[in-house]
Amino acid sequence: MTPPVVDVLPAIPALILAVTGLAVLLAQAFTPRGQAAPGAPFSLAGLLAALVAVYLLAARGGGDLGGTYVVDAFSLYFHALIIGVGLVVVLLSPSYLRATGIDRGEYYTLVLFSLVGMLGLVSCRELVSLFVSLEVMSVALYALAGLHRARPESQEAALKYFITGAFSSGFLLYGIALLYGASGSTSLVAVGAALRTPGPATAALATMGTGLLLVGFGFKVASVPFHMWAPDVYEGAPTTITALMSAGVKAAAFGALLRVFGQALPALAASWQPAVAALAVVTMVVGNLGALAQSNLKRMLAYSSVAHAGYLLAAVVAAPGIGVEAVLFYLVAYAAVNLGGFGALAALARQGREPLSLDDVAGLASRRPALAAALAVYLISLTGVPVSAGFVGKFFLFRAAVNAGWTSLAVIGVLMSVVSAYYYLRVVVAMYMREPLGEDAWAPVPPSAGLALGLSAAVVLALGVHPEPVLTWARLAARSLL
Amino acid sequence: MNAEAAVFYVLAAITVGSAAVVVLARSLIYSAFALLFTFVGVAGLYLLLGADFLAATQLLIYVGGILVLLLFGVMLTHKLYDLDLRSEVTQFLPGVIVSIGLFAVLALTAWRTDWAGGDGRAPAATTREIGQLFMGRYLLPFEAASILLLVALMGAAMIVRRKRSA
Amino acid sequence: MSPDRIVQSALLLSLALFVVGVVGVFLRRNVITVFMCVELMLNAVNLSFVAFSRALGTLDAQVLVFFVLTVAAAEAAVGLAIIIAIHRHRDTLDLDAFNLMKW
Repeated sequence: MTPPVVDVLPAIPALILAVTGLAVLLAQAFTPRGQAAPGAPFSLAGLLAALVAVYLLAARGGGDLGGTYVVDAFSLYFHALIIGVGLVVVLLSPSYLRATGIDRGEYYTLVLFSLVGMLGLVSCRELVSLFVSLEVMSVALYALAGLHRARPESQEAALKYFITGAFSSGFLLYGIALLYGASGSTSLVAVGAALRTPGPATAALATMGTGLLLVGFGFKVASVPFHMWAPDVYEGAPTTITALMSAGVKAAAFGALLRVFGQALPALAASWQPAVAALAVVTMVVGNLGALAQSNLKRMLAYSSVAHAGYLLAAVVAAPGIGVEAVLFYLVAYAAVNLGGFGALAALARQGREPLSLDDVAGLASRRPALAAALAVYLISLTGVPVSAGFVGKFFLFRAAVNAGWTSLAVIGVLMSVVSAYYYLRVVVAMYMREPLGEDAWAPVPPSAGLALGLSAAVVLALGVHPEPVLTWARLAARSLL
Repeated sequence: MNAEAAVFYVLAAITVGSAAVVVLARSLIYSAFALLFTFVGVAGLYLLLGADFLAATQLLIYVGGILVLLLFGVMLTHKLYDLDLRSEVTQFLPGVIVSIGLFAVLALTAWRTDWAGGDGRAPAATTREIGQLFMGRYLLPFEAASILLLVALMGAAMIVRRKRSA
Repeated sequence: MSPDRIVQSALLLSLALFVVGVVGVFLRRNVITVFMCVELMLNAVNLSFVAFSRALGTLDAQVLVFFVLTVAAAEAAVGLAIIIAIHRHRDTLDLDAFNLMKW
C-alpha cells in the first residue's frame, strides 16, 4: 500500500507551536547551569509565528487534513482566540514564575503543548482524534497544575484535576463508543448522517451516548454538578496556569462541544437540548451562589468561571442556530476578562505570595492605579454592566436563548447576573473606597505583565464599544459549522 | 449451551468478579492483584470476540505496563492517604443511585438493540489490517498519540524531579 | 451462542464493568484505588469497542482501542508521578526546610 498523501498546511499553526515547544526544551538542555533559558522569548516568537500562519491560512480559505483535521472559519476563529490566550499567558509568566520560585524550563514547553491540544480539540472532525487532542491538553495541564512544589495545595490541585480528568475521560470515551456502535463511524459527519435515519434501537444507543458525552463535556467545562474540582484546582494551581485553564481550556472545550453537538448530533437536538438547559440553570444558580460565599479571590473567580459556563450553556441550547455565534463572541470577552482577573493577581505576586483576600486588595487604587483600573474593568465586564464586553456578550447569549424559545433561561441568567454584581463589585469597592492596610506587600507591575493586562483590558473595552468586527467573524465561523 | 457460551460465562465471571474485588477489597495489594485478573479476563474476551492482536496487546500494556506501574506506586507510597472528592455535596448515595440507574437504562438499551448491521462474525487476521488502518485513516490520531506520550513523559519527569538540575 | 447473542452479552458485560468502575470511584477514597477504578472504566470502553467491531464486522473499532490504551498509559505515567510527588512532599517537609536554611 502507498502512504496517503496529505496536505499538512492546515496543521501548520499547531506544528509551529509543537516545534517551538521542543525548541524551548532543547534550549533548556543547552543552557549552562544557573542561567535561565530563554523560554518566554522563544514561546512568544513561536506564538506570533503561529498567529501569522493562522492569518495566512485564513487568507487561503482554510483547508483540511484528510477530512479529520479541518481548518474552517470555525476553527480559525478558535485558533486566533487560543493563540491569543497563549500570548497573554506567556507574557504574564516570567515575573510570576520568578516571584514564586517555580521558574522551570519545562513550563513553557508544556504550556505550548497544551495549546497544541486545544487547537486539535477545536479542529478535529473525528471523535477519536478529538479525544487524543483533549488528552494532550489535559495531561500537560495535570503536570502544570502541580508545578508549585512548595505548596501542598498545588500538588493537591494536580491530583484532583488528574482524577476528575481521567474519570470524565471514561465517560467521554464510553459515549464515543456508543455513538460508534449506533453509527458505525467516529467521523462527525458520518455519525450525523447515520443518526438522521435511525432505527429504534440505534436511536436509544445514540441517546445514551449523547448523555455520556454531555457528562464528559460537563466535567471539562466545569458545569454543575460536575464542577466540584474547579474551585480547588483553580485555587491550588499556579495563577498563570489558572488563567490558562479558565480562558483556554474552557474556550477549547466549548468549541469541541459546539462542533460535536452541532455536526454529529443535530438529529438528537430534541433530547439533548432540555438536558443542556437543565445544566445551564443549575450551573448559573450554584456557580453564582457559590461565588457569593467565597472570601478567597482566586476561589471567587473560580466559582465565577463555573457560573459563566452556565451562561454559555444557556446559549448552547440554541446551538444549531444563532446560539453558536453568541457563544463564540462571549468566549472572547470571557477569555480576556479571566486572563485579566487572574493575571492581575499573578502580576502582584511577590516572594511566593499574591493578593488573595479583600484586605489584600484594599486601597489598591492608590498604590497601583493602573492595575486597579484594569481589574475594575474586568470585574465590571464580568458583572455585565453596559459599555463592557460582558454586557454585549451576555446580551447576545440571552437573546439567543430567548429566540430559541428558552425565555426562562434568559430570565434566570439576568437574575443571577444581578446577584453576581454583589461579589464582583465588592472587590472594586475594596480597591477604591478602602484605605490600604499595612505596608505595600506587592510587587510593582512588571512591564510584560502590564502589557498583557493592558491588552486584555483593551479587548474588553473595544468589544464593549465596538463589537461589530468580532461579531462578524463569529457569525462567519458559526456559519461554517452548518 | 455450547463451548463458546461456557467460555464466555467463565470469563465474564472472572472479569466482573475480580472488578468487584478491586472496588471492595480493603487492602491496596488485593485490589491490584484483582485488577490483574480483570485485565486477563478482558484479554480472554477479546480472543473470544476475534480480536487476537488486541488480546496480546492488552496483556503487554495493561498487565506488563500499567499494572506494574501501579504496583510500583503502591509500594513507593506505603503510607495511605485519602482524596476527598466530596468537598461540596455528599456524593456517595446519589452516585450509587445514578450508577445503578445508568446501568439499568444502558442494559435495557443494549439488550433491545438488534445487531443486524454486520454479519456478526469476527473479522479474520486482524494484525495486517490494523497496521494499515494506522498508516491510513487513523494517521492523524496516531501522530497525536505520539505527542501525547511525549507530553506525558515530560510531565511525569517534571513532577517527580527532586530539585532543579539547571 | 449465536453471534448476535455474544455481542449483546459482551456489551452488557462492558456496561457492568463500567458501572463497577464508576461506583468504585465514588466509593473508594484512596487515590490509587480510585485510579484502578478508572482503569476498569477504560477497560469497559475497550470491551464495548471490540464487541462493536464484532457486531459491525469492521476493524476500525479495534484500532480505536489502541488509542484508548495509549491514553491509559499516558495517564498512568502522569498520575503516578503526581501521587509519588505528593507522597514524597509529605515525607520530606522537614528536609525542605533544612535546605532552605542552607541557601
